[in-house]
Parts: sequence; structure tokens; C-alpha cells
Amino acid sequence: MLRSFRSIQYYAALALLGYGAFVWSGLHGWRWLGDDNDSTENINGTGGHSSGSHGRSTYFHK
Amino acid sequence: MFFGLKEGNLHTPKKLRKFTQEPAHALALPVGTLGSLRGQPFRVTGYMIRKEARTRASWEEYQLLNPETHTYAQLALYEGHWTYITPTDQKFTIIARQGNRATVDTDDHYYELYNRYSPRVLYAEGEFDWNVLDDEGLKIAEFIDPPLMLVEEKKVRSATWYLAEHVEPAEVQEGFNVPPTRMPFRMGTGAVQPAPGANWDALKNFSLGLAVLVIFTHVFFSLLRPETTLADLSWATSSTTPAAAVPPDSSTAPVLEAVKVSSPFEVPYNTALEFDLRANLNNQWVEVPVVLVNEQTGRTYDFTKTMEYYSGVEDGESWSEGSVTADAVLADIPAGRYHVNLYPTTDITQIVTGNLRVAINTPLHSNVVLFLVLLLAYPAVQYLRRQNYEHSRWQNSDYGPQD
Repeated sequence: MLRSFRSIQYYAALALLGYGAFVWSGLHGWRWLGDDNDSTENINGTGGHSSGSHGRSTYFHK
Repeated sequence: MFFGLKEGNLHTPKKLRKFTQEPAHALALPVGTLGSLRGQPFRVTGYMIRKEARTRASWEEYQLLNPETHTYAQLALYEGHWTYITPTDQKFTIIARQGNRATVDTDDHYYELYNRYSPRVLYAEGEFDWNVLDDEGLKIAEFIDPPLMLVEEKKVRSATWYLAEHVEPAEVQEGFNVPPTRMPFRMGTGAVQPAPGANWDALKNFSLGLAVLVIFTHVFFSLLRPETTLADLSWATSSTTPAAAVPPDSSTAPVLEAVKVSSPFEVPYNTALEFDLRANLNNQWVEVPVVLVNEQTGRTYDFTKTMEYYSGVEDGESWSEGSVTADAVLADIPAGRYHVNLYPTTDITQIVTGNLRVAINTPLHSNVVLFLVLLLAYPAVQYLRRQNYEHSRWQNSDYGPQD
């Protein structure tokens, strides 16, 4: 059995690395696709609030 | 000319047949060639061209003699695909399946019927320890489980079985020191040529096993840290007057959007937070900028969601569009004390109410989906390649799955 897995050792190593990253992300609440945060950190490490457009975006309906 | 010798009368050969067809090319293994294959020494003692009685398909067969054990083997060659054939004393049972299909099941293999035919000998040279012309009375059935093949040669009342195995051309070339120019060009897919991805079973078992483990891990995290509400905040827009709409000389100060501030809450560890927004909308829109503030470090995280919901009746049909809910995820939020600021705004003179729920331990389903896609991409490609390969293999058969 080990011999057969040796034939996919690179794939298996990469997949296990990915699984490790998956577990770490699950424990730390890190989303791979990014999140909805719009703030950009400034030099002091604090974020700047972008208050959005504060107006109605162009909208069409029937 | 092909002659036969009878035991006890080796000096008067009997003329059996004059072949009209001759090899169209120089033989890869001329009779008399010495070499080795699969760790055994061999001498090429005979060569035949055969065809199926009912079709034009023809192939070559080299008769090999092991000079040490005085046993015979054969190398069959069809469109550049080599097969090493040895007799076996084992008997196998053929199981008839649906339609014209049949199988041979053994402990380790599942052979499927690939071809049935009666052979015709078009040409022969060298020595054979039997009258090869008698083979024209045989009914042959080939069962494959690549890279292996079982061959049944059936006479009226008896059957002989052979075990065949795919051989790479390079193995023949090296074993018999064949000049590259004499090696035939390989075409199409061989009957027992192994499909790409020889490690398929290991790949399939490993990837599916890990996929199941990922799903279990995700469920385990959900049970270990269930989603919990940290804050539930009701909000309402004020009657706003956008600054741009107020004349510069107006004595009326513009009323900016009202800020709603949640009660402080603790985030106990580094995690993701989910924000569920709901608005009571009736042919309205509302824009809700949300700011999460870490009270200890001052660091802020923000996002803006716009919700709109319109409905009506047109030409006797009711319609609606938009949504009264929206959600957002802020990931990788450090432990600490936080509060949320909201700045909901909508049209002048309208008031929209709603609520915001902040939850901890939101399940990150997208991580699961993305990891599964990445994990299974390579096995999926291999699977499709193998499927395509098998399709090509069985196109040469009248007994394949597609028939």
C-alpha cells in the first residue's frame, strides 16, 4: 500500500500541505477567497473608514 | 512454402501450403534473433502473419523458445502494440453477461470479453512445434484487464488458456537489440495498453479519502465552535438631506445620517465574523455602511451593503425584485473588545428600519469548496483522460461497454 502511495508522493505531499492550510484557516477564521473588508490599514495599523458612496447607485427596474 | 514433419519420419517433409503473402517490411525480430524478455533468454524460432477470418485485421506473431527451459512463448504485434503470451495450465470460467458481453472473474482480476474470432494464417516462416494451419479451426476469445489478457483457444471439446501481457516497445527493442528503424510505429490504443495514470487506484483512494476528511473536519469545527450571536442591533435611518442637495446659503444645516452604535462585545479568539443585515423595505432602497471597531487597538474593519426591494403589478402580473437581506463576512479578526457602528441612509423623507446580527464562528464554506476543487482537479483530469483512453480502446471491439 505504501508503495502505491509512493507513486503519488508529490500530489499527496501537496494535498496534505493544503489540508494543513485548511485546518489552520478553519481555526483562525481565515477565508481563502478574501472577505468583505473594505478598510485599508494606515501606517499606524489602524484602518480608515470609507463611508461608501452614501447615495443611491444607478438602478433599473421594470 | 510451409512444410510439416511427422514424428518418426523427419526426413520426408510434407508440403502443407504455399503462402502468397509475404511480410511488407523487414522483420523487427528476424528468425534466429537472440535476446531476453522479462528476465528470460529467448531465441526467435518462428514468425507468422495472421488475420481474423471475418475481418481484414491482421497481426504478426513471433515464436520464442527459451533455450534453457525449452519452453515456448509468443510475442504478438498489432499496429505497433506488443503482447507477450505464455501458456497457462489454469482453467477459467466464462460468465455470460448482458447482451454479447462476457467476463472471466479471478481473485485479482476482472477480465472483460474484448474479441472473438477464428484465425487464418497468411504467412509463416521458421519452426513451430505444432501445425499452425490447424489453428484455423480454433475459436479464440480474448478477455482483457489491462495490462493483462486471457486468451481462450477452443477446439471442439477442449480449451487451452494463455496469459498475455502488454509489453512496451522499448522493452522489446532493448531485449532483442532491435535497430530503431525496424521497430514498427505504434498507432491507436492497444487492447491491453495501460491507460495513463498507472497510479490511478492510489490517486483515487487518496484524494477521495482526503475529501471525506476535509468534510469531516469542517463538520467537526462547526461542532467544536458553533455559530454564536455576539450582537443584535436594531437600526433606523433618519430623515436625511444629502449635503449636495442643500443650497450653500441655506440656513438649514444638513442632517447627516444617524450613527447607530452597538453594545461592546468580546471576540475571544482569532476568528471570522458574519454580519447579517435585514431591512424592512417596501419599494425602497437602503445603504448601510458598517464599521467594526476594535476598542483596544482602534483598528477598524468596514464594508457597505445596499439592499433594495421593489414590487408591483404590471399587466395583471405581480413582480418583485431585489432583496431585504444582505450578509458579509469579515475574516481573520483578532481577539479583543469590539463594537459596531452603522450609518444607514436612504431617500429623503423616508425611514427604513432593520436589524443587524453579528455572529462568531461562521462556517467558511468557501474554504471547503475551494479546497475540494483544488484537491480533486488533478484526479478529475486523470479520470477524464482514462475515460477517453478506454473509449478509444473499446472502439476496436465489438463487445465494449458502448455496444
